[in-house]
Formats: sequence, C-alpha cells, structure tokens
Amino acid sequence: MRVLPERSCWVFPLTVVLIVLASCRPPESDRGWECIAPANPGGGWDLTCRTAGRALTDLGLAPGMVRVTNIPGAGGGIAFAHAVSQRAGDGNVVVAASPATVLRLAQGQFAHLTAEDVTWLGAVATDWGVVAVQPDAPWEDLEELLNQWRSDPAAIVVSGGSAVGGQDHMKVLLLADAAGIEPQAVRYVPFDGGGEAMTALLGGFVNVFSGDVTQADGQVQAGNLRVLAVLAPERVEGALSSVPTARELGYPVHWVTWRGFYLPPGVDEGSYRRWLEVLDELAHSPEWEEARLQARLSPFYMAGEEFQEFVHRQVSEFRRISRDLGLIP
Amino acid sequence: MDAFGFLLEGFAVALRPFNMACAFGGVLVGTVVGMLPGIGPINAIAILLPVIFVSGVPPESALILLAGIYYGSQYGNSISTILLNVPGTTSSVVTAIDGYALTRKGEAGSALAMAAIASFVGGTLAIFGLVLFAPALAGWAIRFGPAEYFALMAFAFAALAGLSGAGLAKGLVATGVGLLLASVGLDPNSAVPRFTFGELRLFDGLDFVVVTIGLFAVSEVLLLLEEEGRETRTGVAVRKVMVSLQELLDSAWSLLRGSLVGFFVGVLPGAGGTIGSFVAYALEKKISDDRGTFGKGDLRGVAVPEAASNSAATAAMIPLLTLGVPGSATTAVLLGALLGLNVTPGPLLIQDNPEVFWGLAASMYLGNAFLLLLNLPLVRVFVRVLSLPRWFLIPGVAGMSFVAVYAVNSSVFDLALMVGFGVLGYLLRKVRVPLAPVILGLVLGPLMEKNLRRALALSDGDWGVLVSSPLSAGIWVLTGASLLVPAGLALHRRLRRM
Amino acid sequence: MKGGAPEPRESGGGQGSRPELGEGRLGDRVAGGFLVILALWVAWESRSFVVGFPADPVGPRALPLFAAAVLGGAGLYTLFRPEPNPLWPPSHTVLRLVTAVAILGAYPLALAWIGFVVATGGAVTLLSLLFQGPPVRSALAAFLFSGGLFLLFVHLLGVPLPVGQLFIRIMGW
Repeated sequence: MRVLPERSCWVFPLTVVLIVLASCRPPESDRGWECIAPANPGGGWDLTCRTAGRALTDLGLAPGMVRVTNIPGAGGGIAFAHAVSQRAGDGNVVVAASPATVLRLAQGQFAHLTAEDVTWLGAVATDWGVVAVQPDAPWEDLEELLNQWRSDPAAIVVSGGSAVGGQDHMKVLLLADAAGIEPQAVRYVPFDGGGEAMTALLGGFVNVFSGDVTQADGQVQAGNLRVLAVLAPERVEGALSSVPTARELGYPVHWVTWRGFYLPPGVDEGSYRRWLEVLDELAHSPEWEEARLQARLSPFYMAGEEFQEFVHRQVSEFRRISRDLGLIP
Repeated sequence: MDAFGFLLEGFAVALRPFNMACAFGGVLVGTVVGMLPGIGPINAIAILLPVIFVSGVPPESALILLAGIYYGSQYGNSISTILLNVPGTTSSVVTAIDGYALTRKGEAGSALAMAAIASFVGGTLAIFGLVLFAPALAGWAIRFGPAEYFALMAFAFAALAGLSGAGLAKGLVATGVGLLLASVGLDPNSAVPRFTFGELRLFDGLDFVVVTIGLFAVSEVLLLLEEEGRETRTGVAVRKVMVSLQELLDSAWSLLRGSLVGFFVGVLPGAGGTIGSFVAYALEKKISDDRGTFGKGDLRGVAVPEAASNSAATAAMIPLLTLGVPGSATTAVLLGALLGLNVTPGPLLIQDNPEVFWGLAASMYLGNAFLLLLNLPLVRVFVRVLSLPRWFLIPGVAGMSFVAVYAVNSSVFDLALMVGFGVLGYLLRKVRVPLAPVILGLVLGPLMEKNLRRALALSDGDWGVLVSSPLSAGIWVLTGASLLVPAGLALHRRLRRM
Repeated sequence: MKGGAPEPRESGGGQGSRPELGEGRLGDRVAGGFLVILALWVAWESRSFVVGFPADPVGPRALPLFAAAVLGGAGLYTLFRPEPNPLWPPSHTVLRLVTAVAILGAYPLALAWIGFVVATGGAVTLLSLLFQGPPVRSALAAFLFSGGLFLLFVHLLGVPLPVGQLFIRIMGW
C-alpha cells in the first residue's frame, strides 16, 4: 500500500517543510510569568499555582496568563533542583511550596541542596494540623488522650498520610514533645495520603488520626470523626470552629500547612521587590479571599524577610526533631 | 431515600442535551487519546484536565465529560494494546496476552469487538452494583485493613502461576525482575533510598509507563526488526471483524465472572483494574481453560480482563465518592479534578449533592453505551491501522512511545530508561521469559510490602495479625487451595495412570 | 525470501515465545548464572537499608530481599535445568539491532538540542530505513507524522514538547 502518490514530487516536500516550520513554533505563552508546580496536575501544589495564577491574571497583576508547568518528582526535589540549576536569576518564575518542601530539605532528601539555595518569597494561605479520633473513642478531650499517651504510649497508634518523618508524623511529635512524651515512643503508621489514613481510623485500625483541617472537615460534618484539637494559634472558621486549639488546652503547638512560593536564587533586587508587591496585593484581594474560601483554606500571610526567617527556623526545628528520632544522623 | 427515584432523576440530568453531548464528546476524545500507544487513562485525564478547568463548564457536566474520557481512554487503550502490543496502562497488560496473539492470527477484529462488548458488560454490571450497593460496600471496604490487603495480594501473587504459560521458573524470573524494579526508589514508608545510586530522578521509583512501554513496545520494535532480516513476514490479512453470536455465548460465563471479580477487587481502595484483571484472568484460566487455548489467542482471554478492568474502574468510584478515598491512581487524579471543581467527595456527597452522584452514575451508564455504539462499527476502521506499511507502522509506534513516555514527566531521563527497558525486554523475550509477570511483580511488590509493614506496625510486631481476622484467614485458605488443588489433581491423575 | 500469500503467524503466545529453537543450552545457563549473581548483589546492597526507627519491624529490606530470593531461586533452576537456546540472530541482523538501539539511545540526547519535530522525524526516518522503507517516502511520512504529533500534543492538548535549543538560538524564539 502506498502512503503517498508518486506524482507531485515537489508539492509534497514543500508541504512537509511548511508544516514542519509551522509546527516548530512554540506556543505563544512563552513571555509572561510562570508558576512551577512540583507535582502532577490535580495535586495541592498544582492547585496553588492554578488558583494563584488565575487570580493574578484576573487582577491584572500579571502580564497575560500565568503559565503553569508541572515538574513532578522526588517530592518536589526535581523542581527544586531545576530552579536552582537552570532558572537561577530568572525573575519571571515562582515555584509552589509548602512545609512538605521545607521538611524534606531539613531531612536532606534533596541530595546536597538546602533551604538556603533558594529565595523564599511568601505564603498566602494555610491549612492547619488537626488531631482526631473516632466519635465513640474513650477520650473526651485532648488532655485525657495525652494522659493515657503519657502513661501507656504503646497503646496509642497514630495514622497519617505522610511517610515516617513527614508532616503528619511531625505534628504528633511536636505535640508529644510539648506534652512530655518520648518521641521514640510514639507509634506512627504511615499511609498513602490523608484519605487512606482516615479510612484506617474509621475502620478501627488506629486510635488517632493526624491530618489537616481540609481533610477532616467533611468527615466531621458527617459525624464520622471527632477532632480533639486544631494545631493553630486561634480557632478556625468553618466546620471546626467549635474545636479548641492545642494552645488553649495548654500545648502551644502549631502546624502551619502554608501554601506559598519560592524564587530561584540570584533574582535581582527589582524583580524581588516586584514579586513582594504582587504577592501582597494578591493576598489582600477579594478574588483571593474567594478562592481561598472555596478551597476551605484559612487566611495566612507572611512574606519577605519575615518569611525567610520563618522557613529557616522551621528547618532547624525539623532537623532537631528528626535527629532526636534517629531519622537523620 | 428512594434509590430508584434518585436514579431516574440522575438519568434526567444525564439525558439533558448538553450533558449527552459531554458524555459523547468525552468518550470520543478519550478513545482517540487513549488509542495513542502508551497514553492510558491516567495520562489522558491528566492531559485534558487543565483544558476542562479552563473551559468553565458546570460541575456535573464536567464530571460527565471526565467520566466519558475515563471510559473512552480505557477502551482506546485496549485498541493499541490488542493491535500493537503496547499496553498504556498496567490493567491492559493481561489483555495483551491473548489480544495480540489474536491479532497475529488475523483475528484482530474479533478481539477488538470482544473488548468493546466486554468493557460494556463489565461497566454496566458494575454500575448496577454501584447504584444498589454503594453505601453498604463502602462500609465493607473499610474493614479491609493492611492484613487483609496483604492476604489479597498474596492471592494475586499466586495467580501469577496462571500467567506463566509453560515454565513456572521463567515466570518466576519475570516476577523477580518486576519485584526488583519495584524496589528502586525511596522506600515509601521511611524514605530510605533503595538502588537509586544518588540519582534524584530515581527517587520516585520507576514509572510503570516507562517500564511497560520500554518492555513491550520498544522490544517489539527490536523483535520485528530482527524478523525483518529473516524470511518474509508480510502483514497478516485481518480475516474477522466481528464476534459471532456463538463466540459471545461461549464467553458469557467468563464475562460474568470477570465482571464480578473486577467489581469486588475494584471497590477496595488501593486495588484496582490491574489486580482485578490479573486475578480474573488467572481464575478464569483455572476454571475454563480445558483445551489449553488461553494465552494463544482465546477470545475469552480478552473478554475476562477487559470486563474485569472496566468493572473495577467503575467500582473504584465507590470509595472515591462515598469516602473521598481514591481507589487507584486514576481515581486520585479524578479526586483532584473533583476538588478543583469544588465538589467534595465524601460521605456527604450523596446527601448534599445528590444530582452529582446520581447524575454521574447515570451518565457512566450512558458513557458505556456510547462506547459500545461508537466503537463496534469503528472496529473496521481501527483494524486498518494494521494495513499500514511496516516501515511506517513500526517506527511510528517507536515515535509514539517517545511522546507517551515524555508526556508523563517531561523527562529525558525517562526516555533513556525506556530504551534500556526495551533492550531488557528484547533479551527477556528471546529467552522466553514472559513479560506480564514482570508487570505483576512491579505492581504487586510495593503493595505487598506496604501492607505487610503496616500490618506489623499496627500489631506492634505480632505476625499472627496476618491471619487473625476471618477475612484474611479466608483469603489465605483460598490462596492455599488455588495452589494446592491443581497440583493435587495433577498428582491424582498421575497416580491413576500408574 | 518466501513468496506467496501472507501466512498467519504461528501462535506462540502474545508475549514471549517466538518458538524457533536453536542449538545448545548455553543461553539459559548464562542467564541463570547472571540472575544468581544479581540476586546475591541485591541481598548484599540491602544490608544498608535500615531505619533508625523502631516501629517498623520488617524495614526497607523486605522487598529487595524477597526479590533476591525469587530471582535467586528461579535463576538456580534455570541454571540447572536450562531450556534449549533461542535462535540468535546472524551478525548482519545484530548490526541492525545495534543500529536501532543506537538511534533510540541517541534520541533522548539530541531531543533538547534539536527539538521534538526534527529529532522524532529523524529517528523515525532512520528506523524506517532499517525496515527497508523507501527513503524519500519514509522521510516525508516521518516528518509529517512528527509535525502532526507536535501540533496535536502542544497546541491541542497543551503538553509541552521541546522545541529545540538550536532553533531558539537561531531564530531567537
């Protein structure tokens, strides 16, 4: 079977050349800002990039559409390495981040890269950590749980969606630290994501669930879950507004699951200032308020120097706890 | 709470012209995208998701569109699997066994037709199951803890014996290779790097798309190139383009069994079409392979995995919708889509947004029907692909493989890996090591490990937990039976002959 | 070259067996031996997979050790009960195979530099030539195909494919 007719010797090569030239042109949106999501479409970072990107365009803060590029891998490590080695000095790109990124950096999971290798821009929304049990669990409140935990740590098993040493594990470790429980004695069993971890609690396989407000509020409303404490400085709005904070109960432990961004290293002063201004306007705009509410996230804003220091403090603290636990040498 | 009444309302939603158009469009686009060798449902949805977000379509319609794409790409995927031996997703790996054998016998048309019909039957039965039993099943699925999963995975592992054809040893070689490949990467429980040689890009392990396309497609290119050097191997004329009624009736029980197995496996979060199709195929082979035709081009060998994986794909919606827990990688992407559309799956979904749930269920049925109506007549067209000249078709498959692998992670490293797996696949096939168990090992290994470690962590080191519940003990008994009974029968036969 | 009408393939199964057999059993023995060595290496490497954390009694060693056990066991069996060799290809075919692998291997290296359309078009053309395709038509078909794929994926589906540093430099894109 012949693919092409024998005649038209010169028409076809010409057509091919033209098509090739035409298709070699890159898509238009190549100048303009870019948000790199260190995960696949549909994940948290991807959502952060898209929602923020849309808001920036709607507010006219960005020149045109904000392009979202997905660079998944190594829990954010590939994107991190990409930003550091290939986008240094690029003032038009931000990368989505969260404490997951910081935690992995603290634990040295991005090979030789550290948190000092990038410029931390700011955070624009947050989720808060929660500690939850089954509705008919024997503990009325956090204090009772902690009492039993202190006296018989082997009897309490916690589930969470992150790996050993990950965010959900860190939450309970911080709480245990504040409550005088040995971190090594805390029994944490990792699951693949908050959904599976919650299912384990609902099925009675564990006693306690460590997660976030956005993971828990649906089940709380359905009556399947009882949140003992929210790891926040103040009470949250929404379905969990009647849940006390750990601080109220005497344990000043916060877990800020912030959603924010970092810039590649070497960005010039002018672009940095510009990003700070843009972020400030974005975070305080009604469009962002609406987007935040739709995602059921809580308000949070920290940027610039303050944020950089915050991140570095988090790195030290995570490193300390991880060392105490024997997770890193 | 009249389920039937709600379902009718759901159909009312689904039958609105715009939504019908969405269902049809989704199925069409899904099939076309899924047909591209190596692009399976996950990639198809991930690729098309941003387009949907941007289009601003209302949630129920967007969901209907997504469901159509989901089904369409599952089926489109079987097209390239059967015609070209390039499974784009792990759940098609089993279809490739008999499907490609049928193509080589000149019966690609019947294989494709059977795949379409089996998908329809599997999906439809699963939708009935979904509608009738969703909340009850969700309650049951929660009882499946790590120990039970481990038992189930062990059962599936024993099923590999059914995939090896001749030579259990070679089958085990394949499984061992798969298990080894599965160990590469950061340990998911404790983030300890295994076999990564310091390479960040291996931290997430080996992507099954890269492995599958390399092992299947690229090795096929090499094997066909090798044949080119020998005597003429001209294209096989396709002799049949439809399934006869007799063949359908012969496969009826297989279809039913496949759908059932797929449904129950699919409901379990974490197990999906892949395990479902493997287990269903192995089970069916044990039950009805009297003439030893499975693996050499038996239509039932296509019917069963297709029915099972489509049934499982639908059943995977149950934990997603009722618990908010994604049952498989594909449903995880769907979960992201749902959240992006501001629909929060969970126990409240059925109460708060009944039109979403029932509309989705109804349109899934429609999607299935469209799939059948659309694709059966098109089998004739699909089969024409085979009549393209070899010098274009085979390198074209290679070209497509590059795109498919690159589209996953935009990683050139993955492309290099793919070529490496191609060489490995060629060598394995030359020494007659079957490829399907490699994928089985790759998929099952991490699942077994994860659940074993979790079960032991939960029981504080007590190994007895693995058999302590009636559910897990029951599955172990089944596993033991499935291994011992055939061996016992063989022994019995040999003794009788003496 | 055998003439005549196309014949249906011998159905040796979809995946593995092209049932032509050769002489001797060295192939399987070598494979078996290799597998045993691989299994031992895996087991050796697994020694270092420990977690300083008590709650995981089995640890990260489980899967690699299991893989090693299966590989080693199956390898031993193949070593001691080898099947007949497959029909290995003659040297000119091996040359073609190596060329094909070289083309496929060069593709990822060249991709970022010369871009998707040229790289894929070139690779597909070369492969077509290996399959004895007519040169001009192969090239035309290959470039049309890769151009079409580029349009489909980049412009219709929004999947970024590399345009090529070379072109960016030359044309200032």
